[in-house]
Amino acid sequence: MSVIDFPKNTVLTFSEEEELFRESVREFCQRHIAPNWVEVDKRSEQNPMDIPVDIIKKMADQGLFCIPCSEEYGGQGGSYTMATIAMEEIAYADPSVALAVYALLNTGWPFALELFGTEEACQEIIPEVAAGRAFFGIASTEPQGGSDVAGLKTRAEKKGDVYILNGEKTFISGVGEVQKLEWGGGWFTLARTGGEGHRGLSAFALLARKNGELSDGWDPTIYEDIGRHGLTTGGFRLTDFEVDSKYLIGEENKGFYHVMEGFNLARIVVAAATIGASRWLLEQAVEWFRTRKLFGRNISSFQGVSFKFADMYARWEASRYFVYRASRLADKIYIEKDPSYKPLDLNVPVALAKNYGPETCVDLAEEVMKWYGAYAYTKEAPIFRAWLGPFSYVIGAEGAQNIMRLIIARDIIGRDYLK
Amino acid sequence: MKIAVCVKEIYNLEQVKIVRETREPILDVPKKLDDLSRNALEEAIKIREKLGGEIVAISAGSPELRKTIKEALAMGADRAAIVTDFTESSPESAALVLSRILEKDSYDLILLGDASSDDYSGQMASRVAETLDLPQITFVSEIREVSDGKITCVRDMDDYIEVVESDLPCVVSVTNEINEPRIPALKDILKASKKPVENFSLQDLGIEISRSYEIVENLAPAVDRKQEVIEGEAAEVAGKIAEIIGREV
Amino acid sequence: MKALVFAEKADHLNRISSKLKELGFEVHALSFAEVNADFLYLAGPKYDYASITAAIDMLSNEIRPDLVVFSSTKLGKEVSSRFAQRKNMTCITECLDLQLSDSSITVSRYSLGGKTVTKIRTHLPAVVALVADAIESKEQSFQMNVREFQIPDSPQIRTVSREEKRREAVGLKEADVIVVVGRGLRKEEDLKLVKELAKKLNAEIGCTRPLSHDYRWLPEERMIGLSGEKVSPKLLISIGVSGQIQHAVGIMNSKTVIAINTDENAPMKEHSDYFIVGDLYEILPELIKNL
Repeated sequence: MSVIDFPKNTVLTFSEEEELFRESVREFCQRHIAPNWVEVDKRSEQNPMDIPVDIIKKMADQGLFCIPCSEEYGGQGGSYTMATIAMEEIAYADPSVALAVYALLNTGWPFALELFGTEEACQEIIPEVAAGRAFFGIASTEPQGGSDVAGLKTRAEKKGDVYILNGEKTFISGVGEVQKLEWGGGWFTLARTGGEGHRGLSAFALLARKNGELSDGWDPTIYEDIGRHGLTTGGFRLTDFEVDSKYLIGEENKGFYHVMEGFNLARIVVAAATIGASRWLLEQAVEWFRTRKLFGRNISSFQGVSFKFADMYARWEASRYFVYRASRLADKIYIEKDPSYKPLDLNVPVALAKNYGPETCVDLAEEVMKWYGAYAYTKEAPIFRAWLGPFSYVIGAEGAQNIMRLIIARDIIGRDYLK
Repeated sequence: MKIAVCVKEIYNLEQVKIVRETREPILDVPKKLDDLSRNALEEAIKIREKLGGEIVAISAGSPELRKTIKEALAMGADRAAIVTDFTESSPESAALVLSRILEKDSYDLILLGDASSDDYSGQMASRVAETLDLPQITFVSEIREVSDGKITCVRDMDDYIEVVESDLPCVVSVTNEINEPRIPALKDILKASKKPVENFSLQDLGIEISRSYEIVENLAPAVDRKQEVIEGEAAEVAGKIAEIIGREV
Repeated sequence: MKALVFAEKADHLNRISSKLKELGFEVHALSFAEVNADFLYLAGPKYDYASITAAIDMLSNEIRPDLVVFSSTKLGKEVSSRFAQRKNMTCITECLDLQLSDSSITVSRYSLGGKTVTKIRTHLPAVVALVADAIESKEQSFQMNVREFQIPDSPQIRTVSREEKRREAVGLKEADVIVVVGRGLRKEEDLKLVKELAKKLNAEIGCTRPLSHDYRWLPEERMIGLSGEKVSPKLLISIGVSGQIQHAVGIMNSKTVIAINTDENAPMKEHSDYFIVGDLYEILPELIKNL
């Protein structure tokens, strides 16, 4: 039973369809995700390749992947706000955010593929992702750094109709999923086709495995994460990996711009997941306050505790505004295609959401654990999973926090004044 | 087959809170489609999958019903006929309103939940069937067979299980255990808004509501449990429990 | 004042007729067995609503009762509301008690899924369906005028088969000690532990709805809750029960409630005198040793 109900709001309003959708996702998650998330986190910690395929299948059947993609490609034909609502609710049911991240990656990046990729690539890949048979995420980070996207080293040489890729990617989500799911999948990947800097990069739909068969020249490793175990993280080496030109996404040497738009979209749903996890954490706190007594009184009777709670609650509400403001803007640009809104308009709103949401979530998790005390230090208490999972986004997954700050500062103060 | 499913909007019972001092319920909570109504809809959808036809969702309630009925449409009803100014409800008046709407069409089958989860009154099937002069099959835990003109059901009664048969048209009410209602997906929810909804007023139906009974009070029972929390090592705790048992029995 | 009663079960009918007599009604009863009444209409059993409704209609025209009473069983609810609709009368089902003043009756019933108890008053004539097990009254004396009665054979639907449910004689209503088990129990085999505890305490076993109706680990008659048994033991030990209100209304009249649950935030805490936060799999074996 939820303790935190969304307060009456005249600014953050949702349509009837959006509210019905939220209720339906919440019901699905209560039935299939909430009872299982701890078990998934535990099992996958023991064995990262123990991927919750059955839950993924159920989520696919419920239509929780490829939410904004066209029905033509097997997508759900929904808005980006609908996707945001779904991720918030999935993360509320799984605050380790593993399943939420699976869902958000497989909504954001297939949509980016639809925006910039070829008809053929969309017809082939998106239906499989929507059906829960393939994974499609983002592979940008390399050993020398993630934030410096323009400094990418993986090379792509064009030979006739095919690009030959050589290089290495690290800290990529889905390396295991691509191997375990029925069809396979891959990533929205960047490689250098031209000269130095951001103008020499192209984007590709790199399929490590398709139709159940592994491609040659793809050599994976799986990492041992400290949290969010239900989703694998790993790396792969590309040795003369062949990518057909139909998998080129957008224009050659324009890949940097395409991936930046993709990141904007992905970051919205990332932030959505963290606000869902935050809501779970807030409820854990409230239920604790209502039952736990110390020195003969509820611990929330100590102002040091209740005031801190109020501060965290305020940050949570604020993050929600950032997130939905960004999702509504994304709808204007990419769904409604309203010409008065441009893709670049998303930069600051997204940076705000992606910066504020994860940091609020992690700070909140830390506070909740302190309120719980020693119990939260044991593995029996599930709270630490809701701390370590979202922490991946503070560490820098899908965009480092300081890069978000840079985007905001650069936009408001002016690029020239930050040199 | 033309199937009518009478559905009910109820308060989201989980969210209803009680004022500690006065024991009054706080009903400023959103409404939702009753679980048993969803069981009835799910059964209708299964029948339509086998025999084809049309499913009409029928309901009487508050203005909020305009939103709640979309749940029924999202689950799979083809269209809806609703009354949204029906607030002083009683079993008699609800039956009257539903029957007036049902009379406007000729249905092969009328499905309902065997009761609603807010008050478990369980009168609607009987009252509607009597008004429309139709046979009724209540407390159905399984619909064995439906064909043109006939229906066979299993009834889960208190002390016995019955298999009964009736000609169509017929009124059937279903138990909570008959099926697991589907959760509508986004595509279904988006489609729901485009499905036709006929909205009648009580005046349109020529009905004037008057309640024949008076609600004297509606309060939560006084909770006076000690609520003493005991924690500790299993052996220690077990000892304490044994002590309490010794005292009480 | 006259009351016309029908209940398919003799013990229900007896409880109801005592109550009605206590309130001052002249009790007319339609029954399949010899029960207490001032005027008893003894009939061969029929279970189809149409025939019973016709019978009640006939008797009601003859007797002109102020109150028509049924037991709030599934059959009772079905017939009472069909009859009430036929006569354009108010019908209130699931009534937990009955009071009479002047020409009105007041009843109580659960609302909002069990969260509240509603008191309803209505003028006579009216129809009510009473939860027979909840009705208390002192022993009464009746005139016992018995008459054979033929329920018209006028079913609207065809009965293909009827099979008695194998009902376990379950003494939950009379039990002094009850052990209730809920979804905290992981497997059906684990019931062994619960049964051992119940044996040590000479207790009856009850359960929440999922265990009897969904998993079918225990017979339906062991279900305690809004749509099941309502119990009033001296001691009730609740094991792995979350404490949803639909179940809690069934145990409200217990004198002392001890609950064991791993979740310190479970709603069951509000319905317990002693709420033990712990694992039943660790505590039960220790408890059994202790007793």
